Amino acid sequence: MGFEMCSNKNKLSFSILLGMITALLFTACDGGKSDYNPANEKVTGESIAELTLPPNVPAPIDPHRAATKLIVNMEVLEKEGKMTDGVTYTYWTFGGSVPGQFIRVREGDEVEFHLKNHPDNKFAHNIDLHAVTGQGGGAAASFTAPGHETVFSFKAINPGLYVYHCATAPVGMHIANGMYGLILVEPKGGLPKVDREYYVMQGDFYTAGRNGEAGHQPFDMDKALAENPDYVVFNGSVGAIAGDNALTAKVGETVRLYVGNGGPNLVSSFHVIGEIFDDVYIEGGDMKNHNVQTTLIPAGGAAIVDFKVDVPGTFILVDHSIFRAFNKGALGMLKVTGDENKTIFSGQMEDKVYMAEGGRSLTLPSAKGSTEQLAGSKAERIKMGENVYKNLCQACHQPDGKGMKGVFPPLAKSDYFANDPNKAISAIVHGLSGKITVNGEVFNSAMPAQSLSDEEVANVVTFLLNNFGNKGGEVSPDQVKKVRSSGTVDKGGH
Amino acid sequence: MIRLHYILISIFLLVGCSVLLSEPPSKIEWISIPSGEFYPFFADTVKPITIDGFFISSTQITNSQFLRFVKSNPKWRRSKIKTIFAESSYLHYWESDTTLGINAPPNAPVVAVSWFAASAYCTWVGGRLPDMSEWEYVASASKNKKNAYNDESFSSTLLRMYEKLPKIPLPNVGEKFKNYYGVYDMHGLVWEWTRDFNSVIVSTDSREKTNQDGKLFCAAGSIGNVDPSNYSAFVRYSMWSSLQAKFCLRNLGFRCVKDI
Amino acid sequence: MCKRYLSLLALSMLFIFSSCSEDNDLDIEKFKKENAYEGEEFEPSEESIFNLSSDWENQNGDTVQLNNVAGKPTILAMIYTHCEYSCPLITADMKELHSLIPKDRVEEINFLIVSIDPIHDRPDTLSRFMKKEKMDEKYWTMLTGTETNIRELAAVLGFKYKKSSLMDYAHSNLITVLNPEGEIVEQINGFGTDKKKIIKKVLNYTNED
Repeated sequence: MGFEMCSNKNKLSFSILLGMITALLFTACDGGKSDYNPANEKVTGESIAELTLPPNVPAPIDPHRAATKLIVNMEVLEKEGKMTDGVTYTYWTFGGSVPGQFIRVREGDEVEFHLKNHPDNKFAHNIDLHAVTGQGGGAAASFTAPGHETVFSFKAINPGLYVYHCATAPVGMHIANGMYGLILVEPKGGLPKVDREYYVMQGDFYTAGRNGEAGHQPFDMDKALAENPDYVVFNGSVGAIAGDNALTAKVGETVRLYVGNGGPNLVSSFHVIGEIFDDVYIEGGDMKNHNVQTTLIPAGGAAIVDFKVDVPGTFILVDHSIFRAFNKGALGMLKVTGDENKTIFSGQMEDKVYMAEGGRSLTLPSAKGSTEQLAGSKAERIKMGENVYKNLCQACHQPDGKGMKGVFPPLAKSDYFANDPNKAISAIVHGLSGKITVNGEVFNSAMPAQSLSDEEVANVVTFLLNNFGNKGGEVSPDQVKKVRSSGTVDKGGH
Repeated sequence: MIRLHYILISIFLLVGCSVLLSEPPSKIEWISIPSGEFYPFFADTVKPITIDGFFISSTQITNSQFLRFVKSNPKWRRSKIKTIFAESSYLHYWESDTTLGINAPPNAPVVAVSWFAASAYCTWVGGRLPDMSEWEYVASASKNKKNAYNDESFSSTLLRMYEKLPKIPLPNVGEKFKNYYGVYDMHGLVWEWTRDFNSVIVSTDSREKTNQDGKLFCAAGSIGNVDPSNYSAFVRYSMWSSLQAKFCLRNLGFRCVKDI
Repeated sequence: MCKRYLSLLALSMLFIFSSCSEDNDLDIEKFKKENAYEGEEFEPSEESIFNLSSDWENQNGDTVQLNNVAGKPTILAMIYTHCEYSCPLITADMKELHSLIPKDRVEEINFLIVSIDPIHDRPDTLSRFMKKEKMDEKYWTMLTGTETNIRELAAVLGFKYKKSSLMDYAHSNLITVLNPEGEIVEQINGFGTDKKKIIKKVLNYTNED
């Protein structure tokens, strides 16, 4: 039984078959993916790439489209713009906007990049695209004087979301003035479909004046060196994607944000208040994380975040290094319209009075216990009660015990507890709320329970009974204990 | 009879004077710059270099000054100049070969001139373009100090001047920034050609260390030591390294120097 | 009486005209020469480097102009002879290019080397260098000139150089190909390019004549 029993001819055939099956397994079962190398894909056709201004992106590439040659025409323009109300800044831009225009290509595409430096510009510029494999990311090849155009070509051999920026000395200054943007290299077959796609890019700005100081603000190199920005914003200015410029979506849609961080210095802790990212393409690469609240985007880096909006509302985009969001401008908005879903989020259901059980502090069992000083006589009790009154009750019921009209009932000549001091004890140990009538006046408030020991309550009630024109009398700690355990004496009317 | 002759002579003199007065000042004012020591931005040694004294024009060359040059030298007119010596944007703001027009005020610096045209002009007036070291030497003076390059406030002031977007038409020379030597507009008006602008041996990617690419450049010395905090110099050197001699840029003019 | 007034008039006119032309020393001939402009017999095209009509000295001390190489395509480089860094590599590249020309066509391409060191590279230095490098004068020429001419030629070619010390220069590594009219048709930056391809291209220019 076994292999040895077969004839030689059969052994041979069997071995060959086995070998073939093994080879087949190795080559076929990886789904054929490992065969594809974008660097080798041949291109067909040529067209001009569509570029878009933020926060919009070009339409997704047809997943069946073959690799092609795309011509990108990018103009550098130095222009004055508004940073925030009353504050202007000289921006250096790719395509007239900060961030620069969005470029969308597919892996395997050949890009013929034309960098045009407007003749009215004062500075030479170039471009480094992080999607380029090659010297300087294209910077050396694209160094352009004003009034000139340079051309270079590259093949997009890695998919992902990449930053591009100017790399002319002093590099930090060029980037700080707004020379950055994003280029998306779609994988073959495209990204999973979503309903809305938006382009958001964070940047830090350094001005001579402080945040909000009016007028035209020049760039400040010292602050940039110290990494101490005056403005941290999305899309180049305060409110660029907020208020009337907010991003929009409808309930039930999936939203994708292509988020970049131009820096020049700060790392972003990107978060959308009230939303959770269903998918995060970490650092704009292949690896996906799920159910993420806040994702880190490095300076000179990017991330793609996908999430479904389930409820309406205004969802705030922030850099969660929170002073940047609320004090320096790193705040954007996504306005979602549509039907509410109370199960997922109800909104506020009610707002009611909250009465803490036990004064201003937690009602903790009194630690005093046996070490408490006990009153030796009625006079002592009254004296000690006076102290309690001064420290605790006087604030509301006033030093003369007359209370405050309509708010705090009087204790002076009070008909409330005149015939039953237990009512006074109860008010102190259980609190008292609802309608009561004292000396002919109606009060409808809430007196919180006081955290006092039996001795202290006895002292202060005795003090009350013997002051403010009241009839007199005395109350014992035992009596207080009894009232404490038997519950509220007068529940009052509600 | 005698009175008539007097009248005729007076008329001639008057006409002559009015001609003189109506023309914008075209005589170059030369300012003497005494010799001294200087640390150039790209230093090959720790020792400073010696700059011999020279004369420099107090302002950048103006449209009216350059106009007189092309009037006497037709080869340098816009319609006549050979493309090897100037690209198509030569004298962009001028209305025609020999008229300035509203975009080229007579006292504004002449721009959109190539290195060849600028060199020819300076030779015509008996001088030459300044060397970079000479230009930087004069440019290192602030309003009150001969060498203010190490002053941080000077460097940041210069950066701000550079950043200001240019007005069109350009303003007149000799009205704004005047430095210690009495030379105007070394900063803040337009960039300037130098005789040896093509000696800036840097890679076109400013992040690469200069001269590390042995394939592109033959480094026979340690040219590449720069003062990394001199940002205004970075900006100027970047600009110069982006130029070719035939370029005519709207924000690039020149001034001349004369050897003593 | 008339004479006196006439002379007065003449004087005043002289005064006016001299004040009007406020610039110094307009010496037309000097200017023409220094600005390398006129070539009365030979009008170069718009993009030709022969528009530079400055005087140079070759390895034999003869005074020549750049248009000396007109009529044939030229492969041109700028070096200095005592360079020990990359100039030997440029020279080697030039010699390799020369060796790749088919034997029957070797006369159809000029090889031109211009020195950037006018002080140390005088004609006799150039002559010694050519002998050492076995460069036949039939095909090879070396030139030396003035600082001004050198700077001007470098500007036209886009060649960058800077004196780094008393003896040495830092400079770009550039080989330029000119067509018979002196126009730049190809530039090679750096080393290691496909030389066969370049020679093929250069030979095409010889057929245009």
